[in-house]
Amino acid sequence: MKNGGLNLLKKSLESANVYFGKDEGTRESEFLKEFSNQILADNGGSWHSPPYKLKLNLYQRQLRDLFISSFDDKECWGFKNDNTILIMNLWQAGLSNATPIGIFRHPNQLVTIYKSKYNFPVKLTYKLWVYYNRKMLSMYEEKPFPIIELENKRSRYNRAVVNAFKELGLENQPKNIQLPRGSRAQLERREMTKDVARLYRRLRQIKVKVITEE
Amino acid sequence: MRSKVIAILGMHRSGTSMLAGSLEQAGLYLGDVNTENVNNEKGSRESNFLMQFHEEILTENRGSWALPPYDVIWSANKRTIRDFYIHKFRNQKVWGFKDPRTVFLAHGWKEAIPNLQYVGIFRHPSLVAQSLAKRNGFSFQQGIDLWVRYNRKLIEVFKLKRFPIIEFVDDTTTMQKQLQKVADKLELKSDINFDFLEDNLIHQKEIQEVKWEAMKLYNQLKMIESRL
Repeated sequence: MKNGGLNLLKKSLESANVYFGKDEGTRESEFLKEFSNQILADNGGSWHSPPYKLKLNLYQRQLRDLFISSFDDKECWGFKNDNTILIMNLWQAGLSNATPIGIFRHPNQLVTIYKSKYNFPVKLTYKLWVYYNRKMLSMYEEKPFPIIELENKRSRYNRAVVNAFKELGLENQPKNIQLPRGSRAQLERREMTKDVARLYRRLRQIKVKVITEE
Repeated sequence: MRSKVIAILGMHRSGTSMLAGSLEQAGLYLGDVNTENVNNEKGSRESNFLMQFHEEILTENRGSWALPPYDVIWSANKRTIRDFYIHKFRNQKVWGFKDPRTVFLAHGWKEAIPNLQYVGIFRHPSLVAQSLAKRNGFSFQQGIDLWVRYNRKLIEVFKLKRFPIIEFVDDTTTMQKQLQKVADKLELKSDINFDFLEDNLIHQKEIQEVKWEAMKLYNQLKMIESRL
């Protein structure tokens, strides 16, 4: 989800030679942003008010397929967008062989970030956190894929990524990534609501394990 | 592989479908296009995707096919989509596209395909206006004004770099000859019988008098055609 560590994960994937487009996929990423925002808007929603049912019109399906075919000369490519999880079923219809990789972070870190960035109340952030991560969990339950937790410790993140990429069958190892300041958001000492806590526990159970070397 | 790319220019109801279908016969690859249409027995030979894509660009520029903006700016996102579209044809030796809106968007395509070639077609303004009245319910004058907009732009593009332009007329023998000349100029197969062109494709009406400005442009276009 937005501010959930997706940029970091994309950087790690790029460092393992996964192609996201020219210039680190700047153009592709702008395209995906506009494309997904338009789909959400056409279905009466937005990233912070996700619509329950989504439909693509013919033009949007053609756009999706055109985007996919723009990578048809690449062996290993990826795409990243904050809204992908919301419209994943629409992507899967055109991309049956895609392998997902997911990332999540502590809900209370999101509370801090969303409060300062968007002035979102805690309740809304929790609601969104549950909505996005439940979607990820149900995808995982249908067919497991590597899910990483964005933790504050760089070494733990990097080791999780190495293991996740092994699971994905990527041939190249990722480079160690420096965690940007934004990813070390303060963890608010706040008691999570029951559904948030339950989902967080569940995600921690299924996340890619980090074997401590010390 | 460097592809040869041809864009078909011309106004709505001016024979662009006939020209596209004929060039397709001469070896021009058009991709997934409309081959059946209520307004064209043999289909508009347009990609539905491209049509909507172009219309979106016109909308972003506060216009539409029926109210084309004077200056069209391609947004970064639309340029990205354009490049995705071009990529799809990268293995084709000769490909092209047809959508009457292209005349207002040609610069955006040229930016990505510097060797882009054009071919144009026009039709008498009165006949176009009558056809638009029938299809879209436009008044005769509205049709003529729109004709002026499209064909003035066609001449503007022509002036930047000359390309073959022909007139759509109801004489199949003349059309055959002109199509062969065009195909020859574009280095496509020209010694063929263009059977896309059939008498029933032309719904000729009586020519009505049109305003001076339209006639001036029409005569200019006829002059260009005579040099083919």
